[in-house]
Amino acid sequence: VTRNVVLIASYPKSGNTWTRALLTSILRDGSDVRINNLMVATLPSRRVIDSVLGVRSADLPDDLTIGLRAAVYRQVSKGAGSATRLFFKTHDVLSRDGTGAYSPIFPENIDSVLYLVRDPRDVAPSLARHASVSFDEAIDRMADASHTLCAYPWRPGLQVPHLISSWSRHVESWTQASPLADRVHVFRYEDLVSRPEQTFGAMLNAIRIACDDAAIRSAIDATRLAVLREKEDRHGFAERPSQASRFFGEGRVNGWVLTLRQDQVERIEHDHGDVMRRFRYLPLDGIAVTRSL
Amino acid sequence: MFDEQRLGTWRIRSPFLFPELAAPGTVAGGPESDKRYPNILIAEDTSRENSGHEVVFQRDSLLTGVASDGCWSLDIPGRVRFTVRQGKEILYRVHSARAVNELDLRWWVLGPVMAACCAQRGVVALRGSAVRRGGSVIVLCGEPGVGKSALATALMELGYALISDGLVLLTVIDGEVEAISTYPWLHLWKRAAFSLDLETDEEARVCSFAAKYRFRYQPPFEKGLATRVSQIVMVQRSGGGSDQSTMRALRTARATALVQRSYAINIHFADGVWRAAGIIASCVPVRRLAVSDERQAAMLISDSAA
Repeated sequence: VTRNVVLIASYPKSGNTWTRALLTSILRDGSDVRINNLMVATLPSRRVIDSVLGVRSADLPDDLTIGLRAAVYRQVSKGAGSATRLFFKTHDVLSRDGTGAYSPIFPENIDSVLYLVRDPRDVAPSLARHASVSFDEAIDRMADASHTLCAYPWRPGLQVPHLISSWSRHVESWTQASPLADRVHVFRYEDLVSRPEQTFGAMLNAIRIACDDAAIRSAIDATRLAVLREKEDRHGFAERPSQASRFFGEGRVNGWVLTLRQDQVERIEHDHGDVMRRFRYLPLDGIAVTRSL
Repeated sequence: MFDEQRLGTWRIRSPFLFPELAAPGTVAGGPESDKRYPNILIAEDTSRENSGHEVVFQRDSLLTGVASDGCWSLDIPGRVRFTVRQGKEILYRVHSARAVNELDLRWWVLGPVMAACCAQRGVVALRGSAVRRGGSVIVLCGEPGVGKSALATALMELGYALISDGLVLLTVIDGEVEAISTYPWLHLWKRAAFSLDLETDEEARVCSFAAKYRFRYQPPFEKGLATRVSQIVMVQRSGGGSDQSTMRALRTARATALVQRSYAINIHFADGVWRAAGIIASCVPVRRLAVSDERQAAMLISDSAA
């Protein structure tokens, strides 16, 4: 079995696209990044799936296509061969299907996973802006274990519907015991912001891409949020949701202190406290110091 | 068994009545045509399974296969298997009568299965819409749900006539690309219908698993008339950056790749049809259109056609 797939996995709005841009810059030898031509493809993209199915997934029932996804990716992996590494991004939760098999994620073909986690209190406002919903609605979605992306009842999306579950379930599924556990490398978005060179260097090390410090610095410079925002202003970004005014937001760390109400903060900490403590977003003694930052 | 329904100039005999196609007895030729063998026969596959005489298919994708004699198959797990022979016969074998209904069978027959049948007949089948004005046709292609049919509707408001929506059939002869008129029905997703103030009727649903509906449009078209294609427009949603729709020409290599991506099915089994994309892209201007507003985008297309 060929293990040639590198996944960049995360709950939405946790730095996944930034990481894709960084990787694209490195894989293109530090050249300028075109945001509409990132080298890391989207795993649930219909384009990827349709090319393997042989017919358009929009012509098939979604439940059938979803059930075939793992087989599709195994085929993609096999077709590429062991000499090629394939890079995909995904927001899928790592879950099993009705038979107990992992699906749509396919552990047997995965070389490594870069898993990004971000303080859910910062995810909520970012998600609200991205999906054009209120902060409360975004917090509801983050607590919903059945939350599915791209499940549009009135038209097909560019991606097939895919389960992301709740924020806590998503993080736990990728970072706790699983057949993939030894291949999942976890990084905090906050570390990527505060110490980009060390954190991105560690990411490259985890996926065995040799790179000198100058190239890493160059990639970081080429993908600063201000640069990505300026590119989006000038060229647009194909992955921007139609209802959102822009894709790239402020990307702030601890921006929630100024944007969320106390009751909203408490709800997030109540819903996700256990996982937040694990990632040092809350102190281990269980007492949240939410307004003192 | 119905007869005389037509797709382009092809007479189709089928156990299903396709609402999109001309009704039996209404097409030129009249009852006399009953005596002729149809161009395309659609029938249930009644051969015994595991009889040892079945055609052996090599998979050329996850759901499709090709036999050494050029037969093509599409196996939709748990639902139905289609076999297409020599561009003349479409056979279907239902795996589970509970999991599939006539509505879905018709949808698949007029979609990917007919595309394979066309490929065997040397005809290119693209997923998209086509409109005609005067002696030239504009073909609209793009990802599912991107708004091709809504854009076709906006073009119809400018005086264009719809010649097909769903499958666009093209012939390439002596460097001339022509579109075959198929049926004057729009297939609109519920959202597109809503935005066009069209009421959706469950009777007009085109398949059981998606919110897509059929709409009849007038004026009628000339059935089977092949018309020169003047441009192919690759439709995509505007990624922001501008609230204006924009259109730009594509170089031949890029245009070829996009035409290939617009094929309704994986068409590698029909080598000549697969390679036709290169000829199409070199004979017909292919433009990429980022749509911000359908009506403004339709004006852009109309201006470029003029």
